Amino acid sequence: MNVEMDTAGSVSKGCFAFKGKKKVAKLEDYLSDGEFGQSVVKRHQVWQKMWTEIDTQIQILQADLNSKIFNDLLTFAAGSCSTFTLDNLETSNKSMYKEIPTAALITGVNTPDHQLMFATLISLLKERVSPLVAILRSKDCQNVKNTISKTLSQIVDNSQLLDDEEEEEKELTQKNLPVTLSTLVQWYKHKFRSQLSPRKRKSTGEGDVRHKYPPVVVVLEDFESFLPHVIQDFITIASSYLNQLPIVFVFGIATAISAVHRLLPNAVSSLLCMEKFQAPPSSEYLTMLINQIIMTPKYPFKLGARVFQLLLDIFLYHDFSVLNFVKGFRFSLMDHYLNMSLSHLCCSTEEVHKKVKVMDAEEVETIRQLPSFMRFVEENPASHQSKLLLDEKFAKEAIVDLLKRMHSYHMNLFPVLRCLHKLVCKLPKHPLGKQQREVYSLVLESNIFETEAYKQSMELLRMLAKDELEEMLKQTIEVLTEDATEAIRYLPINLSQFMNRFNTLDDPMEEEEREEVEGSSLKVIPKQKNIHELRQRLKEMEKKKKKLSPYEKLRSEIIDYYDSVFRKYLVCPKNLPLHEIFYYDSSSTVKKHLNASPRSATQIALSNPHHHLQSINCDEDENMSSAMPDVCIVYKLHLECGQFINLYDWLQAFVTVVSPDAEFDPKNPDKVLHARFIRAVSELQFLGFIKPTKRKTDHVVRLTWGGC
Amino acid sequence: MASPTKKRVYVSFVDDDEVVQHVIDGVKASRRKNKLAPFSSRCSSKKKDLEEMVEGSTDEEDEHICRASLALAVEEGGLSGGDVYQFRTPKKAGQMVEKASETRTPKSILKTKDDENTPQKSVSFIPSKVDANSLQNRPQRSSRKPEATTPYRLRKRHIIESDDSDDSNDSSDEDSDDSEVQENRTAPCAPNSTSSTPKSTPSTPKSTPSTPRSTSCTSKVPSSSAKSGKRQEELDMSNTLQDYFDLQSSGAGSTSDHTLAKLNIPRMDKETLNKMLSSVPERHIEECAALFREHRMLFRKWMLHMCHGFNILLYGLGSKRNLLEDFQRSYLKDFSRLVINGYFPSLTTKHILNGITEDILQHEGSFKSPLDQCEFIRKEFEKEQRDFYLIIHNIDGSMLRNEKAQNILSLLSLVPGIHILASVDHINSSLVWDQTKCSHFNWLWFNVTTFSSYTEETSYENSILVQQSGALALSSLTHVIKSLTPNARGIFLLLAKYQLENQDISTYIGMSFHDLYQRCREAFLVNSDLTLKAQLTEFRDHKLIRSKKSFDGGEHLLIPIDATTLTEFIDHSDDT
Repeated sequence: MNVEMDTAGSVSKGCFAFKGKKKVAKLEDYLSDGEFGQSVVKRHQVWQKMWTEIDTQIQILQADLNSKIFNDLLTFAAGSCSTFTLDNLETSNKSMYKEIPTAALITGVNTPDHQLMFATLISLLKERVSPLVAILRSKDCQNVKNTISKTLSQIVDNSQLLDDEEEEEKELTQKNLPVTLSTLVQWYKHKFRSQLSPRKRKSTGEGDVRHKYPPVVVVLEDFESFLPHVIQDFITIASSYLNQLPIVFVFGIATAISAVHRLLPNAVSSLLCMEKFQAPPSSEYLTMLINQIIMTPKYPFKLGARVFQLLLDIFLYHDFSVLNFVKGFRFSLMDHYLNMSLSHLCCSTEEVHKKVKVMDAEEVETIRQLPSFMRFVEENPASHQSKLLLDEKFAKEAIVDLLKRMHSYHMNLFPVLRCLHKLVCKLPKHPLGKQQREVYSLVLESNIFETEAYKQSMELLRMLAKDELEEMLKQTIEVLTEDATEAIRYLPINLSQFMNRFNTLDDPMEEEEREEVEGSSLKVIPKQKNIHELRQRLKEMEKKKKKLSPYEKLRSEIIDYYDSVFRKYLVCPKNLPLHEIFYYDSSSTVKKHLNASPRSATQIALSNPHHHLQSINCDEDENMSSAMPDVCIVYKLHLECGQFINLYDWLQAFVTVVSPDAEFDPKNPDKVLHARFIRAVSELQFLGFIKPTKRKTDHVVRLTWGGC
Repeated sequence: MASPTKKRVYVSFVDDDEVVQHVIDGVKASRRKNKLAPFSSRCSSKKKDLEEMVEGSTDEEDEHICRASLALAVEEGGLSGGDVYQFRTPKKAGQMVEKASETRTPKSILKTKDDENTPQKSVSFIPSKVDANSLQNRPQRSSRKPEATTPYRLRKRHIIESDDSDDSNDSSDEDSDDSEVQENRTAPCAPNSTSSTPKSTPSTPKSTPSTPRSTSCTSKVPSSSAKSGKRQEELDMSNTLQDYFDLQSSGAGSTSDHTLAKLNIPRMDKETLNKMLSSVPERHIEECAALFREHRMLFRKWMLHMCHGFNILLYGLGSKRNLLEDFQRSYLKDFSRLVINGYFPSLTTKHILNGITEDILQHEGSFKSPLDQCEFIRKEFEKEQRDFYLIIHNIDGSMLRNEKAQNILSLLSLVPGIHILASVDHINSSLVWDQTKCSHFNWLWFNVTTFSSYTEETSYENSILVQQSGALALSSLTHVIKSLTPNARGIFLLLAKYQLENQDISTYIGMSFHDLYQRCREAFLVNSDLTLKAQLTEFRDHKLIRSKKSFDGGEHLLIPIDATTLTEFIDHSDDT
């Protein structure tokens, strides 16, 4: 096929296919030369490796997250029909099966994540409970017939249980038999009755009782959007076959259990025997993700304060979608390794040595250019300074040292951070936020101990009651011992010493105190004649009374200790040398690419073309000049209009602007100008600012308001 | 803080408590009556601080309820949502003409006029204290917080923006720019409302002297001295409401009654238009080329991102066709790809899917439904690893806007190995995707403003101004007519001629069925009304005629083609 074929102006076709020889695009082809710098291939390897690790971690998380709820659900589904048999159909069990076992899975606000969740659920169901699983989505089920045929085709098609001989039979079933549930019942009966006898003999050793009569599981993914009459009929029909077919429903419900009652009248809902399963909300998943992926020393790559906040805000304010959060994280990771020329140093501790060793002079020079490194140099004594800047070997050693320091900073940061979070998360008004991520983002932003909120929460901590403080102490010790590194092992030990002192807060000291107080009060009271003096005295007494109780003393001691620990470990990463290598903080890039605002971009370009085209000297910000592109002038003119725009007037105004000097005949404007006007107007129409109307001749309707 | 005015300044010692007392009283007073007791300059500065504190504390309370997202707030140079999405603002007739003629008059004159206006206006409205305050502030206009004189709407913006300015220093410059922009804009409307000002207004002959708007305008200015943010919000709201109802009551009658018929050439036909446009020299060539080069630099990045499973979406003003074509030619030469013109008016998803299955996968055979076809494509691509690129010019094009088409595309984007590069132009294009689709597409957005004209994209669009030459319609008409029986042709001609005869009657709704039947019988074209009905059904199927019911229930038949085309058609068919 002709590659150079013009695809633009064809009036007969809108699609043009080209077949190429190459099959797979290789990433490396686009990395190699120029633009991204020399080390990009190296960087790419690091990034690839890290992403694979993180990705698997995320997969594991995803699986873990729902495991509990899924387990419950699976047991429910498996157990609900365990007493089902086909053998004694006619006799007793007619009375037994009146209600369809139903699991109501509350999933929370609908997000793209749910599809993933249901996919996992279904694969688990197939694997562990029964191969007969049908998933129904509301958009496929506009009437009862569709619904049933969808169910049927999914269950009967499922070939896991079918042997080769039965394949033909299956097709027969599908093609010739009417689409009703009784067809399914026949199929089911045929299948499991006939199978039963030979199988029994074969597999007595295995004792595979569970598969004797596998339940038919029907999953309704978005229960709320089903048409009420369809779902009602479907349930009623299903319930009438219940003694011949072990049906189990799973409803995916986004809002609340009451949706079931809203959708189903009493007569129908009484056919269901429901059990509720609450899936964890997506914010919980996010917290887990942040804990495992971001707030961990495992991965050296870190999000900077602004990017972290941005991604969080997109999650909280826009979509509640963890998938999107991961996408943002992935993009940041990629962008960091692509644009930060030193990012190959952002790797695990073991590799640091090797990597620094092979660095060439140029790269060392780039490091010297980093602002954080410059600051570090300035802090050093003069003799070191010149060495750092000139001696490559010395500089490399320093770099290794600094990188290692960064790693150990991360090692200590997170346990201590969790400890701080434990302390402040229950304070009234939550000055540092409720969630760990909030505390973390404060740490990323600035030295947390310098913030007002921190001071406030320390004040609040100094007012804790004894049992509260004891509880917190216990918790923080737990947190710190859980993932303590060498460097902070002493912290829990010191804290438990405080713990012990709680127990020895005993009477002897208190008594001493009381005696003292009594003694002093005795001293004060005698012979005061002057009222003024008395008042003075009383004031002094007041002060003395403030003397701390031993608990208060201990408390302030403990809080002071905490404070010192936080001051030591919770330094803002921005203050550390070489933080640029680990932290990605270009929030504007992330925002531009993930959360773009196309409309405002278009409007800015229309109203301020000089942002892009410098030759227009539009210093008069509001006014138009003939130098602007036509579409901008037409746009600016249309802003001055109300709902309707008169085309004739518009044209005249346009001509006035474009040819400011020449006088013109309003009846016969220059043809070229006319043509330009037509083009500009149809472009505005294409962009969606105006549309034609029939309300008034030669008028168009404005579709937007505001703009600048 | 020395005041630049010639007024005498009293300096006296004031105790702190007194200040607070004073301030609180003062604020209350100002809220009630818009009247402030005179302060010494020192006091006022203190007062400002205190008030900021007060404001700050209330802000904090609000924040506790709902923290505004700073990270999502607009970057410097961007527009905030409030600027883009606004209520309708009332416009006067002829404002556009006025605006256009403004560009003719030397700007300096207008500019100075405006500048003089603003202080004058404030003098006439705001009681002495605020006046002094405003004069103090005048020299530092460009600083962060313009105080009393700026209209309340501005002030609100500034409060918001100064919050933002904490994380970006650049924005402060922008702010001051903005404030001037706003001022220039608001200033011209002020004189209209303040008929009391002695100054001659930069008058507009057509401006309506007393719209209800003028009252709302006057009420705004004093309110600016009230400091409470909440109150301003209320006022703001009530004003917006007022505006809204004013607008509704005024109706749509504010445009002039000129029509294009006044021009010598009311509508240009397509050919002349193209000829004319081709003679127009391209402007800003160099800069556009520079923009283009800049965007070309992104090509490699796009490839990288696509290798990582992202899809690329381009937005921004100007046609992105050439850019995508260039990318396709230089980077995708060797890969299988499908170019889709989303703006093409008769594009369907079937074309796209067939393009993939037939031309790329070389599969013969048909599919039950597009979804099946998608499934087939997915299976094929899962079999072996290969890359395939979908280049969609205008994924928001008119034929792709529906939910079904986007659903198919989003399903395709999920197929491993299929990469999508697309462009959007319509300002509301983001609305075509719901959340699920958006996450399927996995877009990375790129702003590529090119400023090049949408020649190809708009060539199919029926512009209002272009005279429909009807070339297409005519040719299709003749095609259909050729395939008809002579009798049927006669019927159609009869109908067409009758329509032309009656074209001047504005209430013409078509030829009644009865009339047509009579005439056809007279011309021996049909022998029963059944045959005629059958014939008409055929016409209707070809969209040659439309039928309408008249008030008495009789059927009327109309050819939905404009008179010129019809005349041409009749001439044409008379010849043959």
